[in-house]
Amino acid sequence: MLAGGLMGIIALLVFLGCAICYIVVLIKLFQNEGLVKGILGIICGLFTFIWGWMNADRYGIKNVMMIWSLLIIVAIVLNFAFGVSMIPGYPSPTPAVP
Amino acid sequence: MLPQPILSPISPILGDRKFTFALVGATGLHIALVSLNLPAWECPIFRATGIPCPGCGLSRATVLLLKGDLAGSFRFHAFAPIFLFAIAALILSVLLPKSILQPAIARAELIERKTGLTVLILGGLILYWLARLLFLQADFVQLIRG
Repeated sequence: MLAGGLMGIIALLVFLGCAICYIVVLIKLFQNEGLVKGILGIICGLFTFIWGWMNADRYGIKNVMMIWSLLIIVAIVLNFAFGVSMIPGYPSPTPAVP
Repeated sequence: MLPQPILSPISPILGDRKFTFALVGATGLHIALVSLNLPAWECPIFRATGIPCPGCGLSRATVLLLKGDLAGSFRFHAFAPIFLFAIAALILSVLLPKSILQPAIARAELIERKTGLTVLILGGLILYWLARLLFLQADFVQLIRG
C-alpha cells in the first residue's frame, strides 16, 4: 500500500516534469512558428516533441529535450512495471479469487 | 485577414523530409503500441492535470477507425478520419519522389491559402474539445482515462 502510494507520487512528479518540459517547448513553438503550428503542438504532443528535437540547438532547448526524453522513458518503464495502479484515482487490481 | 503563412502551415511541413520522416516513424510506432494495448506516448497535460487536451483520444479513435469500428472511433474522437488523412499525407510525402512531391505541395499550399482549411479544421477541433469539456466533462474524462 505504502509502496503503491510512493509510486503514485513518483509517477505524478514524472508526469508533472513532462508537462513542464512540454509547456516550455510549446512556448518556443508558438514564439517561432506561429499560432496555428502552436495549436497543432497542443493537439499532437508528438509533433511538439519532434519539433523540439529538430530545433533543439537553434532555440537552445537541448537540455529541456534531454530531460523530457528521460522523463518519458521513466514514465514508460513505470507504466510497464506498475501499470495503472500507480496513478492516483485508479483502483488497484484485486487478486482473482479461485 | 490572417497573413499568408498562418493560412498554410501544413504544406511547409510536408516539404521538410527529415521532420516528416521522424513524425511518421513516431506516429506509426505510437499507433502500433496503442493498438497492442502497450504503454505508449501519453498526453503530458492529461497525466499531470487530469484535464484532457484537444487531441486526447485521437490515437484510440484512429486505431478503432483502422479496425473498421466507426461508432467506437467517433465516440473517442470525431476528428479521427481527418487525422488519418493527415497521416496518409505524411506517409506519401516521405515515399513520393521530389519530382511529384514538389508540385503536390505547391497545390496543397494553394488550397490551404485559398480556403483556410487547416485553420478551420484546427478551430473546429478546439470548439469540439471545448464542447466536450463543458457539456460532457465527467464522461469525457472517464472515456479518456479508459
